[in-house]
Amino acid sequence: MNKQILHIILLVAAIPVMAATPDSVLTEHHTVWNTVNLEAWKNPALHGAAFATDYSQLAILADYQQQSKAFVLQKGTGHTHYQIEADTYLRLSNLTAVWGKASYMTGHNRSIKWSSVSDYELIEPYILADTLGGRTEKERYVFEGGYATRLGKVLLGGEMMFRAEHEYRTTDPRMRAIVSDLTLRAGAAYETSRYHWGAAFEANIYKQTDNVTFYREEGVIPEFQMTGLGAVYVRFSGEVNNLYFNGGGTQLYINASPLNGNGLFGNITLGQHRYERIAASLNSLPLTKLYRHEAHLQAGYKHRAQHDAAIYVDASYTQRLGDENMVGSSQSNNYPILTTLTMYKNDILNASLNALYGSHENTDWHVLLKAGYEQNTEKYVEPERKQKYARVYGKLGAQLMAGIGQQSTLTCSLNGAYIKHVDSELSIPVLNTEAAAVAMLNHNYRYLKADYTSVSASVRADHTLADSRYGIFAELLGGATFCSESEHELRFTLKLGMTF
Amino acid sequence: MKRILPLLALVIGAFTLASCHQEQTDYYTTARLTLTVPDSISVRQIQGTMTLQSLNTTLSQSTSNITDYNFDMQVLRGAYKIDVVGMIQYTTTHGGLQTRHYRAHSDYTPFADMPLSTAKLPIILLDE
Repeated sequence: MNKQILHIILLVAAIPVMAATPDSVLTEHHTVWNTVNLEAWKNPALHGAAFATDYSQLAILADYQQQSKAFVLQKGTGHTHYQIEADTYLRLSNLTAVWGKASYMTGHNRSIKWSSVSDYELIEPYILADTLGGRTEKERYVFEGGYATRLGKVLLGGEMMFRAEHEYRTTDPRMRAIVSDLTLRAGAAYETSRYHWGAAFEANIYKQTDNVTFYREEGVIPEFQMTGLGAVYVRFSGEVNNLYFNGGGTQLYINASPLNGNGLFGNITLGQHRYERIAASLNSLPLTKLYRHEAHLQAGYKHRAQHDAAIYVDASYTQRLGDENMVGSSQSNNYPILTTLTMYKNDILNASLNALYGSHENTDWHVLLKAGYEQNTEKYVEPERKQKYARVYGKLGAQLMAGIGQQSTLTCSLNGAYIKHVDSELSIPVLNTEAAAVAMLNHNYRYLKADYTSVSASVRADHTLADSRYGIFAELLGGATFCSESEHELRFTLKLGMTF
Repeated sequence: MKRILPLLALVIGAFTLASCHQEQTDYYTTARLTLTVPDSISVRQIQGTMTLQSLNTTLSQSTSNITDYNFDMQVLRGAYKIDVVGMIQYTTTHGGLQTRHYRAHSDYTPFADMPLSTAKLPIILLDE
């Protein structure tokens, strides 16, 4: 066994020595160095200046993830997804670029409990939930397109992203959620002697219709209107199973990006979104509204020459506030809203220091180091509930892109991460909480305060067909996460496709 | 650079101000329930316990402090179910002194006004 591991290490170590120069288009579009620029490229004006070459990819992929026990009950124990996707970035001229993406995904999620909605992470805690749950079938369509051009010293760009999702269950409780999510983004940048100063504005419209039905003769179980940390809006729980979520928001991006890629850089993102839960069967009665405010800062220094080096901080703060409507007595199925109270509060802080070092001469290799701190505090006002956890984490990653012969390129990535719990607290009024909800909170809390070790590796082989701009590729990714609660997660992704 | 920074601050400030959500933190109000008694009796003494159950959370709170037919209690603003039980001592129109149990009940009463939210309930005298 040890000899085999030694052979693998020697083989990987020998690749740079025996390798030829990798495909320059592939390295431009797939190098891990691009992660430094991803925030700036959210401004479509700057995305238009991101690449000098055209690159298109058509791929099919299978993605399998399985947890030995659900780390978060609402997310289930894993999924099997199949996807077909097309992705392109084309330079129409020196001044203009277009890009686009289309994908279709189908598959299923396993053993979801306490969630009868789609997009749980987006709209929680204001969800419909039951204790039974089960496997859900899922399909997703994504369409994205963007355009950017240059007028003298001004760069202009715009892009549109649309996602439609359908998630449903074929056994009781038969949840069905249909999501449509449209984002429009417009950006501009001004070029000075050393910098691109950019700004972009984004508007998002979100809608989800959600209902749960029961067909079997055994009867029904209650669907709970959750209001945070196990609290339930008792009055409208049970048979109010027909909801819709109206949401959306705006986001502002500010960018300072060095013209030649070398120097200090900074990106600021400010956003606000709101998601309202409305009971369709109660004459469109609004029950709750979730507000999300977020601020994100990325700032640092990067330098690309014979060797590449970047060091930057990445910090984000998200505040989520939940308003509950206190509803009066109905008159002709018309419910007056007596008052609105902010009952749920969630503060999330995440900050990390990142360093990237490597080279893009001959073989393209980079090493990534990340160390950070994450803190999440949730509160429910009355009866008082509180959940808090804080973690520190570290991540070490490496990527190697090497040419094999004249027509092939091999891309290898290795990543390892460790998450260490440093502080946690769970306080719930057990007597005033559904017994099943207490068990759910305790289950999720057990994994929130756990330590995690994860490793992943991926290998991608690209082969350009002789005398052609077409190529084929295969990519295999495998990963495992080990939890200190003696549970684990496995993940495999296989991707096959062609490039042109 | 000197021109860009003030502009940047202005844009960020304007966006932040426009997007901030005002927290609704006036959580509590004083719920005052006034018991109304029949005109035909003259009350000498009244005692009782009021229980308010929130229709949103199903949590219950009780108080036995009654002053001049009024129960006062600090509650989360919202809709409540009210139950009052107690004893009343009164003189009848014929001058007789009587002591009887009473109750008052409401399936739905809103207590949402700030800082005082009032409601009235008639008592029902129970059979001796």
